[in-house]
Amino acid sequence: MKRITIVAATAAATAATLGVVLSLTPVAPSRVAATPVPLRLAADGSNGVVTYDSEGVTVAPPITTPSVPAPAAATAQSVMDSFRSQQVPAAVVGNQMENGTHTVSQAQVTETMPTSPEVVAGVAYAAWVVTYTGLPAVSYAPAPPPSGLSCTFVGVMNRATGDWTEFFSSCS
Amino acid sequence: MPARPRNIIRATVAVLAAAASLLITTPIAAQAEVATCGSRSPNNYHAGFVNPGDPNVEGDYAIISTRYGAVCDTDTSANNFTNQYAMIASNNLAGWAQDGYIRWYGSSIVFFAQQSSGHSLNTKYGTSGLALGSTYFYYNKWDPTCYCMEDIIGRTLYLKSTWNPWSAWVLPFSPQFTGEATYLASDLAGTASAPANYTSISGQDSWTDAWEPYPCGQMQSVNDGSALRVDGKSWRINVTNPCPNFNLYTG
Repeated sequence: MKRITIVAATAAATAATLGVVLSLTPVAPSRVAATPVPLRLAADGSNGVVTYDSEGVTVAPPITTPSVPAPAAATAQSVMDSFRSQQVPAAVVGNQMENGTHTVSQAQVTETMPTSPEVVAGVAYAAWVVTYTGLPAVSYAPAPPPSGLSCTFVGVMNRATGDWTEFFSSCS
Repeated sequence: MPARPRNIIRATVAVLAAAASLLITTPIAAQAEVATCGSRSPNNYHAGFVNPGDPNVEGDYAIISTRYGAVCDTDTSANNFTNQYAMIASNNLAGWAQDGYIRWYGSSIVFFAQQSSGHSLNTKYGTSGLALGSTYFYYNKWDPTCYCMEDIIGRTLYLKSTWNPWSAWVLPFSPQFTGEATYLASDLAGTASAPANYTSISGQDSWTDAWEPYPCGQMQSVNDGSALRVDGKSWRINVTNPCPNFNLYTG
């Protein structure tokens, strides 16, 4: 529904009532959906599927694959060794790296907006997912972050190549 | 025994690869921040051009060149960063969508995009370092098909809001093109001879959704770091042609 439609209808009714002709000032089209878009930062489904909507990443339980993983993806330890050496998690997770609450697990990841050239949108791939929870929010804008937020930082490693395909933070 | 041509090629490639790697990851000695970070502002510090409220704009973009910025040394946390970005924000700055590049203490330079509805915060980062001198489009785009805000770097979609900025934010929106640092002791990326260039600055028309060059003279400059530091340097803004292009640097 466009706002201009409402304005035009209202103006027409007013004009008819008053018996005058109005010169309508154009109004920008409505930017508000008839049905509000639901706010969903990360959905944890009952089947163990977690979706990060804003980042376009879905993490599902792993499926068995016979392929040989890249050396960096061989074990949880090798994954964490690689994770610690990456500059983004080193900066964002920082001093929480060793003692912060985190998990490292195998998963099947599907992305709708991949940033890595080795990931195809909509095509699931075997991955390792490192997740840190309870991190503080950091704003890069000229204002503090919204109050009371707790952040989850996620790193995704492609099991086949050992490359990191996603680093993101979701705060709620 | 003379070197075989294939070995020479291999050696040359190896040297070039090493040089390229250094170019991407090594700080440039020409810039030297103030070591002691000092006090900080909860809003961080900025320099660049902003329009506090533009009813004609619902999104924006700029091409920004990648430059190195040193940060002060006494805060090695994630809070100590220097970045450059294009942003569209709520009029009260309680929500925003921005994208650009960032580096922290001891890190290389990577892409980042961040969005806040005013109640949430989502950030996505690049996974590899950027080459100095490279240039990229940084878009903050209103998408009428999803009633959402998108952060696009080059042709890659980084973030897509799950909320509608037209209902989540205060109108009119504020386009902002700035460099930012946590501390005034840190540098904004760029030097006098190789500044961070902001070019092709454009706005997304709030009537037609089309992209148009941002009009000259409708933004105001901000510079929290214009005062000389103890090292004799300050943050600088140079207006360039065509308006409203500009350069940022520390010098």
